Amino acid sequence: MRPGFRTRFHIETIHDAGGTKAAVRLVAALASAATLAALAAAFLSSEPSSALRAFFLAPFGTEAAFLSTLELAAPLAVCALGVIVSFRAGHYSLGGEGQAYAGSFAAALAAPVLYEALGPASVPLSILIGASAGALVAAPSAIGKRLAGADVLLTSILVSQGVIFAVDWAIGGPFRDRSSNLVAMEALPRGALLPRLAPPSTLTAASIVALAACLAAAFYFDRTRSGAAHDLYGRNQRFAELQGFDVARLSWAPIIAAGVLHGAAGAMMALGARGTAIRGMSGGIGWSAIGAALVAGSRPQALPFAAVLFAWLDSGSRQASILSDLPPDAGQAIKAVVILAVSARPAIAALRRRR
Amino acid sequence: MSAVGSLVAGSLAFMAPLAPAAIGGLATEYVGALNIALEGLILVGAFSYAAAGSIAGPIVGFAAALLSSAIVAAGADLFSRKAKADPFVVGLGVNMLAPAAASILSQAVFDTKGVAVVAGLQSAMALPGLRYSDVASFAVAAAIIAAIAATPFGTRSRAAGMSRDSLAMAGVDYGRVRGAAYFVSGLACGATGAALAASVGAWVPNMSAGRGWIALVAVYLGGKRLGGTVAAVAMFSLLLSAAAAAQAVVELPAELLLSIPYFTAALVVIVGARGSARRSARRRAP
Repeated sequence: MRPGFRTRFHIETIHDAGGTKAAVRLVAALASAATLAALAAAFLSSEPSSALRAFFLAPFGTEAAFLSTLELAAPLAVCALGVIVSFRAGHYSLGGEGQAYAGSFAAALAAPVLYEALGPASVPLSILIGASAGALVAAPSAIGKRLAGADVLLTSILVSQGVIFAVDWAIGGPFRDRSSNLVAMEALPRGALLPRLAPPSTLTAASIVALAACLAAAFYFDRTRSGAAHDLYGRNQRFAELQGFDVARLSWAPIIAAGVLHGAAGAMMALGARGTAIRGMSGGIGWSAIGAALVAGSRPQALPFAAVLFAWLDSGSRQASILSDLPPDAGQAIKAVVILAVSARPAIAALRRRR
Repeated sequence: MSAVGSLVAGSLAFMAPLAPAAIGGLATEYVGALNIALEGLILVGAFSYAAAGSIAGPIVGFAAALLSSAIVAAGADLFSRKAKADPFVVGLGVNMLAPAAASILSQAVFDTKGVAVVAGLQSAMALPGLRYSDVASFAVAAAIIAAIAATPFGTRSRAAGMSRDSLAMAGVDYGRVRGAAYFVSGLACGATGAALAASVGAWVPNMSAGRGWIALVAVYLGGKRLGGTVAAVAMFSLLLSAAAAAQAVVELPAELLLSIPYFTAALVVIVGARGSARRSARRRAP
């Protein structure tokens, strides 16, 4: 066995699965999620019918609930897009959690100042600052990869863990709003937040931005030479080099791009329904994003559906825990099992044959 | 106790839960599999210790921690092999499932999804800075080290990591060797989880706090070698102990001090990679 500082492995299931496979995966994920949700309601709640109704109907029961579920999906879709951008280049960055958290903090810090100076025009700038914070957290991994060939998986997780501690301190310490019981920064002025498009739902422009980003990424990967080079680099670096592609740039740029997307997702959370940065607000979004990217078969155009599926599981389990006694963590457990289910190739292959 | 003495004692206390997980990570690395589920497996061990320990005492709790974590690890590997699922993705699933499942079960067992203190489960001190549970945890790590260094299982594991075909030609089933390595990895993470829960005598949600990831990094920092991994664990433990000790001396917040070992380790990975890239370039030069 060769000793070294690099992990040498490929995650086959995270490469572009192709249009049909991505669709089949989505169907498999939806079917397994619905089955598991029904089983969870039946076995984990003493009021199965209320739990079932709350899980399946409440997130879509009213227009406002449906639009709020879409809003919940927006940051997850952007985060998962970051995962696709880095993983399809063969950079297995696991630092999404810290990058998103840093994005939330930076956006919440900048938003009041920018709002005072620029008014409502401050919102895109705040998101830009959040995105820059995500890029900054991703930078050590990108620099390490470019200059030393350091393994992105290791450096990204280490830097992310360190950043999570540092942001925890910042939100709970010097920037904490002492007038609130919540460990959070001061609530942002209404004008500094993403404008709500359809009150009383929480829907903001974040959903439209997320959709546009997914479509732009799909165009990039499917229709541009740079996108093809990006993909080829992820599959075979040497071959990409022989084809004359700029492999030096591809050794770091996708890592930074992923950081930008994760940071922007974090900013969307702070400037969206949350209205500020709250300690621990990233709440596993980095890991859920990897799951969503997998369910989408690494195809950006399938991401909005995967993100809505995960948002439904989050929203459904929350609603079911309020309206019945279903444990609120049921949604997270179902997400994990869905990820396991869609990773099983024979099951997916059987489903494809039936189709 | 002198400053150096307390730093060493502190390092041993940090090392006790970290060492088994890192050795467990190394066991799967030997067969050529990256087990990213260490973090989730530690949580399985910690919860099992608290849950079984609350019913039958700490010794049964410790055994339950080892066994449950090993079963989950071996089950995940079996699923991965039989369903041809990517081990990385399966590991990710385990890491997501473990805290959620523990939270759901915690509500049923302890009637709370938060911190559950269990009377009689906090391990007593065996030596300054070292509890009996830490000693047991070191013993598990030592037993696994002995198994992978000096038994046919270790030899087969290394052979599996080098060449699966050669292993098959020798009539050894790769799947069984890999399954055994995952089982051992689970045992090790169970010991880590039990040591963590026994140090406070409670189940605390997400009490693994990134130790699974640090253990994985230690395996790579140690060049995927036994001695190197142990040395990397010792370095991390010293850093974490120094960060904890610094809280009493330096007026820096705990969270910032705790972030330092992670940034330092990232720097070490980058500098180490630079060094090995230079050495490789020198070897290739005519």
